[in-house]
Amino acid sequence: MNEELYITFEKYFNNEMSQDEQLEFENQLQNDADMQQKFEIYKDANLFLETKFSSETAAFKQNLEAISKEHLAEKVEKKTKVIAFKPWQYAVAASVAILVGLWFYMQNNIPQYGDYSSPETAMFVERSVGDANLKEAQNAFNAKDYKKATASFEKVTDLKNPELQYFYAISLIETNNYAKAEVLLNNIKSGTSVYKDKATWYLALSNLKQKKLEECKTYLKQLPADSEDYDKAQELLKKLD
Amino acid sequence: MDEKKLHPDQLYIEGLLQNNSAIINTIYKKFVPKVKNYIRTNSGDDDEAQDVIQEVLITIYNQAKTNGLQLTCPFDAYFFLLCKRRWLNELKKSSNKEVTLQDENVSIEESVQEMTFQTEVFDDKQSLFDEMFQKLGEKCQEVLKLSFVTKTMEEVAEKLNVTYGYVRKKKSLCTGQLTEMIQQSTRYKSLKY
Repeated sequence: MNEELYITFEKYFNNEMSQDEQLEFENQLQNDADMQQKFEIYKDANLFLETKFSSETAAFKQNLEAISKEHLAEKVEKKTKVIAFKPWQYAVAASVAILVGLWFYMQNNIPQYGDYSSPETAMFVERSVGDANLKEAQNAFNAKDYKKATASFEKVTDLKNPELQYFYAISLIETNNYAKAEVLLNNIKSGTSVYKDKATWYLALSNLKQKKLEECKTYLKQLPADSEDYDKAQELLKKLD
Repeated sequence: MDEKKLHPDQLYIEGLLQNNSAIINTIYKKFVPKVKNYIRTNSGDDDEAQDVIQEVLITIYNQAKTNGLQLTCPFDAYFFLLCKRRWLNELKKSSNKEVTLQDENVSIEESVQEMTFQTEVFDDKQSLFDEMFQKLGEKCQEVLKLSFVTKTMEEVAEKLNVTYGYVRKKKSLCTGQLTEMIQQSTRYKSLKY
């Protein structure tokens, strides 16, 4: 192995050559196909190692593994929830169900915002760097302290990101600032981000919380069948009719 | 830079790259069930499906991080085709398994095929580099790992209790050794570069 060659490569990548040296190196490279190939592989090897050993890659793999497990567990749980009943037990179960249902029906005729709103955990600040207000907003949001979250969001200078707008809007609904929340949500809804359908869902919930049931229904009907909250929306629609 | 138009689904690529849990969850809800269903109806089970899906998502992440990945087709079709082809390869490898394939004869859009091809070429290359890295001596592996995990070469030298000059030379020689092993491998020559 020509050791000198690789020491030169390293020097070149670290910008440690004089202008003359660099010119000569590039000249040599152009006229030597084998050296060129080694240079390309050397460059790719560096990129490969950088990705392989990056702490971000490790964090991604870990997170992916956890999410993947969660989704697998969900499936298994659904499958195992089958309990065999004896015939008379069906009768008892049915009457209990009717009584419980009736009780719930009389308790709350109108479905409540709180029954449906279950925002995901906010995770828009990954590292400690960046806007301190954002970090505060995230912490307050996850602690369900929406008043504090709203106050912190208000201090953030750049709120163009739909993810931020989405969590800000939920905080606003929770603190009864509906008008402002709906402006943000409508903005997300007309965009192309993954929060698009989520925004529609929360527009419906915002109206539900204000007891504007007709408006709520209109938004619910706009949710596409493949959206995450579609099933909940159908259930809510049935209850509102 | 590229004349081809970036697909709005690029947001899933960015989400993976940024390790955004909300987006990864969305991928699992929106696109994964179809893949699982396919693998289940083609001699696989849920665990095997889960593995294929994770491997494909890691490949996409690696490509995005290493070379940048510009999605020019819908994510759904691209992701599905990658998973499907990876699963078919698995089946071929374990040929003692009874293979019954249910293949829908749909034509696949050219842009999807092209994106899938790109990613598979990247993955081949990545696995060759990885294989060769594992063949390096222990010392070389350690020096290389440390020089990418640690912020500065000065710190690497300190950790290994050697001089800065030595560690720098060692790093370039080890990368050189890796380079030559890759260059001489038959697999490198057959890579669709």
